Amino acid sequence: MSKSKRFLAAAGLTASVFGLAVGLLGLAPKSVARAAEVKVADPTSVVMIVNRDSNDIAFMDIKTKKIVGKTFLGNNANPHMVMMSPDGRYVVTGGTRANKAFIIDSHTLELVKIIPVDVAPEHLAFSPDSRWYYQGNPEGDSISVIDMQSLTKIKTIPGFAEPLNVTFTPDGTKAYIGNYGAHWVGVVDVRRHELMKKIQIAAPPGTAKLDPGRYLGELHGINIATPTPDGRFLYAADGALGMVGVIDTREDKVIKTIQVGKDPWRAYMSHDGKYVVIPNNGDETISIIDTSSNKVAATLEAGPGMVGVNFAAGKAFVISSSSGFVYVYNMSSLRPAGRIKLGTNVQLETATTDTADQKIYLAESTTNEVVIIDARTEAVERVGNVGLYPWGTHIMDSKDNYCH
Amino acid sequence: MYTRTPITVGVRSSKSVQISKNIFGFLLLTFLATPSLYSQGIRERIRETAKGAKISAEQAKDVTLTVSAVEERPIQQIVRTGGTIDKTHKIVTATITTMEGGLIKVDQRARSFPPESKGSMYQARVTRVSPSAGKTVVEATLSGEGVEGRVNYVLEVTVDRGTYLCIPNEAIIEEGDHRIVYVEQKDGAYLPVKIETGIQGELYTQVLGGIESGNKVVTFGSFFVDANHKLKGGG
Amino acid sequence: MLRVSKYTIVVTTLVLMTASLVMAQAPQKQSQAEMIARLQQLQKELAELEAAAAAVQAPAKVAAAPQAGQRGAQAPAPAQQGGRGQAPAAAPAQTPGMPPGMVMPAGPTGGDPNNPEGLPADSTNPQALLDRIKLLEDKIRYLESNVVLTDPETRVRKKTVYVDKNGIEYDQPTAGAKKTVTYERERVFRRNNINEKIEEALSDAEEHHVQVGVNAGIVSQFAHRTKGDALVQDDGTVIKDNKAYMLASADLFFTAGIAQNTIFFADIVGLSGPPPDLELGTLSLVNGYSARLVNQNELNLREAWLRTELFSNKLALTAGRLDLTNYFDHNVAANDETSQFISDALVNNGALGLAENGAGVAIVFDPKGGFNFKAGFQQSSHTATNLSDSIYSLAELGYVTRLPGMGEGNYRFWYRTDNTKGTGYNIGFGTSIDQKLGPQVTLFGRYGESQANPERDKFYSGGFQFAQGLAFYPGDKWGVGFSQIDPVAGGKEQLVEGYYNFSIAEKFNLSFHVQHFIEADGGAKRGYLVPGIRLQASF
Repeated sequence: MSKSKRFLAAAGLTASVFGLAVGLLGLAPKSVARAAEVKVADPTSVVMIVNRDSNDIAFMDIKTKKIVGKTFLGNNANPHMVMMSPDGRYVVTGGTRANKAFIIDSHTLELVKIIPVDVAPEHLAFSPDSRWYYQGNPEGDSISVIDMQSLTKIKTIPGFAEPLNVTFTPDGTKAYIGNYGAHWVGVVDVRRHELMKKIQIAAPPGTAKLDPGRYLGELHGINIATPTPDGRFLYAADGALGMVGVIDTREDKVIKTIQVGKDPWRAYMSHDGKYVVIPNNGDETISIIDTSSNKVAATLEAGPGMVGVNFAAGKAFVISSSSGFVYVYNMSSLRPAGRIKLGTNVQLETATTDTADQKIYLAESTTNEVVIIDARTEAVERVGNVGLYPWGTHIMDSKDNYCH
Repeated sequence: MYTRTPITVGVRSSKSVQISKNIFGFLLLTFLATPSLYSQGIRERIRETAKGAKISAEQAKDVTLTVSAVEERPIQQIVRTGGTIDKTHKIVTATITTMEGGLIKVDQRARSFPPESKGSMYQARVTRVSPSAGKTVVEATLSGEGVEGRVNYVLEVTVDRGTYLCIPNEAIIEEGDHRIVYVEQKDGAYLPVKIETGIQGELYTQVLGGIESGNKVVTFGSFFVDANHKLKGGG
Repeated sequence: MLRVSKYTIVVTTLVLMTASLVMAQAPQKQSQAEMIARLQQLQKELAELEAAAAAVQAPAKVAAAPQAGQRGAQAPAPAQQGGRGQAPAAAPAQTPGMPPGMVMPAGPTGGDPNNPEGLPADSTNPQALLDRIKLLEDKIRYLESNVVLTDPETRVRKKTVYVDKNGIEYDQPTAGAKKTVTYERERVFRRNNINEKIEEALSDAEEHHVQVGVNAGIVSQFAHRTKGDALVQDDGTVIKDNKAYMLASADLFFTAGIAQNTIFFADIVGLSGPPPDLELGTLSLVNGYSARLVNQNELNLREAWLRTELFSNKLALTAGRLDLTNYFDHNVAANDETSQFISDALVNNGALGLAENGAGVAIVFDPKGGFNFKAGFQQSSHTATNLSDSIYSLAELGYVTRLPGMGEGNYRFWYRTDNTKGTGYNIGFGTSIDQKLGPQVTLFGRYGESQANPERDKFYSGGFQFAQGLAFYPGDKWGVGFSQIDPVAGGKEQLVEGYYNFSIAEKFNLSFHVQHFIEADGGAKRGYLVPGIRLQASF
């Protein structure tokens, strides 16, 4: 081989090896998807369980009732409420002790972002378009606004009094904030993320000054403004006043106040929008309001420490936390239909209902179980070892996703 | 035409090798350039400290300036249509007359609700797809039973288009027949870059060219940056 | 002289270029020294965590509240190792188990549980080092998530075990061993904050101690004769008109939880002052509080009973000294003389005929499904020398329903027998109904008949209650009622009452009453207008 040819051969060899090195070391523009293992292919197929003391979110397959994965959030996170974004991409939760929001990839169950928020985050909500995640910080009296596109906190809205729950209007333009430390509902402009106005549900009665123990003691204000399915009206129960205010969202004003029992916890909307069920913890009754007339249609005996209401199979299931009972009511006749005993000396937390409105998934923290109640037959099944101190459950698009 | 100047490497022997100055120079240059090229990162190529829009920290806070990384993400598209529910209150039938009908497949996840009450959101699955001339008829089965008395339903089918290099839709500014984004620079300025896009999803748009993975583009506040840039004579 | 071929130079350049690419693109690959340093750091963290866990598990004084009270003292489900983060209670300073699904390599060869493979300290195997790092990181992560570094709570739980004839206990079914239930203490780790701990301790203390309550009332009334002549008593005393009366009552009641679903209750009452019933001679009591009056200025044990609930709390059994009418003849709008009507004829059914409290038993079956059934018996005369000679028994069937267009309604039907008079069993029956006409208006009614051979005494009452905002203040309520008693023995009474109850504070109510009685005796009629004020406080 001539000298020039040998040289060309060497140069070509150089270039080839170099190109091979480039390819092997992945210097080409990254076009290969991340190889993280997909644990949940379908976000609608799982129940999410908040485990307060093990600081994780467990994912249980609805069909097999097996835990398919857990996402550990970190020491002392104390997650409170979990939600799946409406587009099914992310699962989010606020860590009450950590003062942080946690974003989890709903498919790989990997923790993708931790965002510092304000003091003691608890309940949260997504805007209908999945763009905004509003994290309520009751101890910080603020709402943290997190942009789900960039996964960053873009704003903290101040000016609340123990904001407990957020409700977005169906068009996503406004959000209503229940203030448990006050007697008003805050209205937030979602475009600007600012508190626009405060809607007072009712004023304390004139005799309030004669009863400082009741009105100046611990204030049980407004937990949540519960929307009707069309988003036209909100029902906000005020614990201290024993009233439910009906708010017209078009005009942002109270159109009616309805007296219910003592110390109402909050309003729960039936799935057909016909009735609102209010557990009254002060006198252990429930008030059922007919939304067409905005009057109390029935006041029925219930139990102590009610923390949630779920609707399924034409019935309402009222969770009495400390008694271990779930009280059942027929929503057609508005009559009591018995109660289900789940245990003695157990603590029941909150529950979610599946999207077929047939089964209820209730967290029981004493035994670290999720209790599955068949709403039609009222049969009970238990899934144990879901984590330490399960606090609540969530199913994507369930009509009963709430927290206490 | 240049003349090769032979270089003698420390030898006076007649048998010493004479290496072409040009080849040696080329190889030397390549050797020196290679690590600096890759260690600096591709981002360095497009750094231009003098031409970007500069936003002060106070302005950024006022407009809640937010940047988002250009990275691989799943792109979801939501195909929306309207239909009616059957007498069992379980099956919604809808017709799609646009090209999007071709994206619908059986077993895709969907959501449905009566237009009068968006709060009554139902999960659903596509159970039948029947394409015909110019349209696609889609049937979706609700997981629960629909609201009594409601006939018309909105159907939103979630189509997973795949994982691509993409940016949030909000980052894109339409300028005539092209699209630009503002890319964050090392010195804090923001430079407009023309991009080529592909699939547009509900939240993200595929990037085909103009920017690279790892770049950060302005999402929230992009119009402010654009206005600022144009005011100062840029673009 | 250095002879270098051009091919050598090309190859050398190639090697140098490749090496620089590798170095530039792989900054994350750790050197061996870095890996070993990381390994040592992880081992140190692991040792610290395990030491802290061991300190917590060591037998120590536990918090004063051994049971978690309302948060669940006795968990019925068996404990699962690893699931609740419970360290084995048997061995103190024991290393918690590995995460499920995690396989621990073969047993220690070097004696160091943190180095089960027995790798020498200066191992140069990079893959082995990386594996060790991963193992330790997983172990630390598991410990951090499952070992709660707080004081453990101790609680007792019910447990199913299997005991053979030698008394050996097994956790799993074993041949020759019999299934039995036992109780065992367990330690539970909770991430409670101090407020939650205090709340639990307080509610636990409340559950295990006697709770005392006070119910005090003062009723002032004035009687003005509106019709007929003055009443002349048997001893010839003429009852003058326009007199004022006052009765003060104080109830002290005690409640204590003494066993699962079992409570003890006692009620001591003292009354003082002259009620109008001593002078007006009405068929029913003008002041319903007078029903408790035995002797003035004396403490009287009104009730003392034990109550337990069985069959998933559907059946309640109460036994002791009790007032059977507390369980029967209820009415949502007219049942309580301390907060509703003050006339006895409007808060009780005159046909019940039970004059005093006594020893007895009450059974209530209430599955909370709408129907309920009650039955009971008690001694009805304190002078009787045995129960059989003064036994009063009562049974009632109740039903909750909702009529179309109206609210909920309670419909109760009762039947009773009483042999107190010594002339055989005297029977009676009646009904008590309350029906919500709307959220603010409740209609109530009672009817009863009592055997008075050969005919029957008849009793009627009815009226309305208004509440839920149809008043001055939200907690206020008011009502109007009417009653009529037609005894066969003679006489007749018609009563009308109206009242308004101000809810001043949560524990304090003030109400105003106006009553009008018409007593007919033979052909003569006598009427009284009795306005009154009632102050009621309860703690």
